[in-house]
Amino acid sequence: MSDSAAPPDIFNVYEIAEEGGPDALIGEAEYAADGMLTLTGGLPDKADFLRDVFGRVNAKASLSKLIGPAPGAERFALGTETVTRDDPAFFDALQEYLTKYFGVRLG
Amino acid sequence: MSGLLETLGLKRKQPPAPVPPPDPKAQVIMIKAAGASAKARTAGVTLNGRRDALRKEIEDLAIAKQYQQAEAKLTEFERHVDGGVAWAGRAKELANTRTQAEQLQQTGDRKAEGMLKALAQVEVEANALRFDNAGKLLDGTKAAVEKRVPEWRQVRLHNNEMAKLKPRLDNVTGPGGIPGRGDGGHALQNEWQAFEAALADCPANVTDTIAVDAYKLVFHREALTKALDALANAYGKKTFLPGDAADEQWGWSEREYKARRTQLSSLLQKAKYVKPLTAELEEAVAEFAAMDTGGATWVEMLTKLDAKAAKAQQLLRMAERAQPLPDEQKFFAAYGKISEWVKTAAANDDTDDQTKNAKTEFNNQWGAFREILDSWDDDRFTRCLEKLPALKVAADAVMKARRDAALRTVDALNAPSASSPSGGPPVPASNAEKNARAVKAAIGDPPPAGAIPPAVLKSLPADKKIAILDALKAGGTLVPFNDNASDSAQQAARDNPRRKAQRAVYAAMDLDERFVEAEEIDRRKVLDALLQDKEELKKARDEWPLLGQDDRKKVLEKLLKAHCDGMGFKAPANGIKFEDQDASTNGDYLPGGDVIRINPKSRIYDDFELQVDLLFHENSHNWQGQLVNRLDPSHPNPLTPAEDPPYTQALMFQSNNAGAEIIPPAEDYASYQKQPWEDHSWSTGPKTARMLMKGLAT
Repeated sequence: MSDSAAPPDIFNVYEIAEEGGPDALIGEAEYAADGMLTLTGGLPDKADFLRDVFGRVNAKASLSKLIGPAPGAERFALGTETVTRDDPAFFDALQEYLTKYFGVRLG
Repeated sequence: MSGLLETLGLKRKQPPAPVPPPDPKAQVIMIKAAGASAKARTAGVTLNGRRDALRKEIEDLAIAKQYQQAEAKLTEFERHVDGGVAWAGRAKELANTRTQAEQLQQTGDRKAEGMLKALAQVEVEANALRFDNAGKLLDGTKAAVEKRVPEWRQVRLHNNEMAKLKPRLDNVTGPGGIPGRGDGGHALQNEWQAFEAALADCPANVTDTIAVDAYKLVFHREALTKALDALANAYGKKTFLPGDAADEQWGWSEREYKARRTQLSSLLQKAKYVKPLTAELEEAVAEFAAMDTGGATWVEMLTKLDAKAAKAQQLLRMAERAQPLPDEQKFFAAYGKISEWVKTAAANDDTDDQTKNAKTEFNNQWGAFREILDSWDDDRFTRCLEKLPALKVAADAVMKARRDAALRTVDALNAPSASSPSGGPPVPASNAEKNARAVKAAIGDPPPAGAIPPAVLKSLPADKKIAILDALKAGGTLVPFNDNASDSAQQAARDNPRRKAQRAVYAAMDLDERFVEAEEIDRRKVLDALLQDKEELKKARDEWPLLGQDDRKKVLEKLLKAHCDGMGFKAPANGIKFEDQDASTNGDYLPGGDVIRINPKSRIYDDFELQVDLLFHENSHNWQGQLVNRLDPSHPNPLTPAEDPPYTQALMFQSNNAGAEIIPPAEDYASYQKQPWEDHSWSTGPKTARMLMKGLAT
C-alpha cells in the first residue's frame, strides 16, 4: 500500500448537546484524505440528517469562517479566513464548521 | 508524591531532621521512590483513562454497524428469553393444574385429568422449543467468539494477569499510595521505568481486539442472566410434571443448562477480565483485521505483552511492600475537592481590613493544617482530615470578605477626594482620581496590587462592573485605539493602563443570563416561523450559489423578518443592501445608515451557512443599537428596570457603545470578541444559524 493511498480515518459522529450534558453518538463516518466525509453507519433516524450535512460540507471546495474586521474596516464588518482541502488545517476547519453550523462533531 | 502535593497546592517542606540523622542511602532511596511514585501515578492515570475511554467506546458500539447484526440476534434471543420467562411465570399456574389433576385422579375423573396433563405437556414442549431457539442463538454467539480462540487463549492469560494487577496497581499508584516507603524505592524506580517503556512499546490493540469480542459477551450478559434465572426457576418447578416424557425433557434441559452455563460463564469471565484494559476500540477493529491473517504479528505483540505483564508484576510485588496509610486516600480525595478554593483564598495580598482579619483566621487554620501535613507522623492524614472542615469555613470567610471588599471598592470610586481637608466640606473626586481608582480596582496599581481579583470581579453584579467602566471614562479622556496608527502608537495604546483596565472589566462581563435565556426562547419562535417555509428555504440553500442577487435578497429578507419578529425588535430601516466592497469584507451593519450590507465580492458570498450567520450576527448589532437607544428616557418606548431582561443587558451594551469604549481586533482579538456588543453577536449569530441549518437538514 503506497503512502499516498492512506486508508480513510473512521470517526464517530456526535450530536453536540446544546444545553450541556454529554454529546450523543449518532453515527460513524469515514474521513478521506481529501477531506470528504462518508457516512458508514449510525442511528436510522439520524441517517438522513447526517447525509444532508455531509453532502453540504463535501460540496465545498474550501471552508471559511467569519473573523473580525480588518484594520480600517467598519466597526461591525466581518472578514473571512479560508482553508482549502489540501491544507493540513482542513480537518480542524471542518470540525469547527460542523460544530458551529450543524451541531455535530467527529470524535 | 511531591508532584501530587504540588498539584494540590501543598508544597512539601523538608521533613524534620530525624534522630539519629538519616542514612544518606535511605534518603537517596526515598527521593527516588518519590519520583517513581509520580511516574506510577501518571501511569495509573493513563490506565484509568484508557479504561474509561474503552467503557465509553463499548457503550458507543451499540450503534456501530459491526454490531447491528449482533443486536438483531440479541433482540431475537431476548424474545425467546422473554417467552421462557413468561412461561416460568406460568409455573405456579401449572402447579395448580397438577393439584387439580391429582384431585381429579382421586375422584376418578380420568378424562379431565388427561386433558390437564396434555395441556401441561404442551406448555412444556413449547417452552423447550423456546429455550432451544435461545440456545442456538447463544451457541451462535459463542461460536463467533470462539472462532478466534487460538488467539484468545494466548492473550487471555496475559490479560487475566493484567486485570489482577490493576487493582493492586491502583493501590500503589492512586492518590494514597506511597510506594518506596520501605526498602524497595530505588529498585522500584528502575523497574517502573522499564515497565513504562514496555507499556509504551506494547500496542494497546493487543487487548483492544479482545474487547471487541468481549463486548459481545458483555452485551449479552443481561439477557443471559435472565435466561439462566428463567431456566433455574423453571427447573426448580419440575416436580409437578408427571410422566416419563416430561422427565426426559427436563433431563435435556438440565444437561443443556449446566453445559451452557459452564461454557458461557467461562466466556463471560474472560470478558470481565479484559474489559477494563482496553482503549481505542475502532483502531483495534482495523488492526485486528490485519493481524488476523498473520500469526507473526500476534507472536511479536504477545512477546511485548509478556514483558509488560512481567514488569508490572515485578513492580507491584515491590510496591506492595509499602501499604498506604489509613485515611490517606480519603484525605487526598476530600482535599482535592477544595484545594482550588483554598489556593484561591490563600493567594492575593489583601489590604482590606476585614479580608485581612478573615485571612488571619484562614492562615491560622492553614498553618495548623500544613504543620500536620508536613510532619511525618503516621496519623497525619487522619488529623488533616479532621482539620479540613474548619479550613473550608475559613476559606469561605476570606472569599466572602473579598467580595464585600470589592463591592466597597466599587462604591468608593466616586467618593470625595482623598485630599479633602479634615473637618472641612468634602471635595469631590477629580476625574483623574476616579480614573486612577478604577484602574486600581480593575488591574491594580501597580498590577496587581489592590486589584479586585478577576474571579471576584466576574462575580460582581453588572451595575458594579459598569460603575468601574464609568469611572475609567470619567472626564472623557480615555483614548480610543486607532488601528491605523503606527505599530508603536498601537502598542502604547494597548499598554495604556486605562485601556488595560477596560479590557479586564469586559473580560469579567458576561452576557446577562436572563437575557440569554429569554433569547433562547425567542430563537425557537424564529425557527418555527422559518420552518413554515422549510422546503422553499431548503431549495434556496441547495441552489444558493446559482441564485441571482434578487433571489438571494428575498431569502435573506425572509430570515431578517423572522429574526426581528421572533426576538421582538425592528428590522434596519433601510433593510439589506448588496454593495460591492473589498473582498476582505463580507458585510456589515452600519448604525448611521441603519442598513445591513452584503458584499457580493466577498469569498463567502456563495456559502449559505456563512451568509446566514453573517446576517444574524449583523442584525443582532441592529438589535443592540435599538436597546441602547431605548435607554434614553425621551425614547417613545423607553426601556426601564421594570423590563429586565433586557434592561441589564442594554446597560452593558451602552457601556460599550462608541468611541474609546470599543475594542478593535487589532488592540486584542480576544477582548474584541468579549466586549458586550461582539460577545452577543458572536454567540447569537452561529446559534441562530445552527438552529436553522439543523432544521433544514432534518
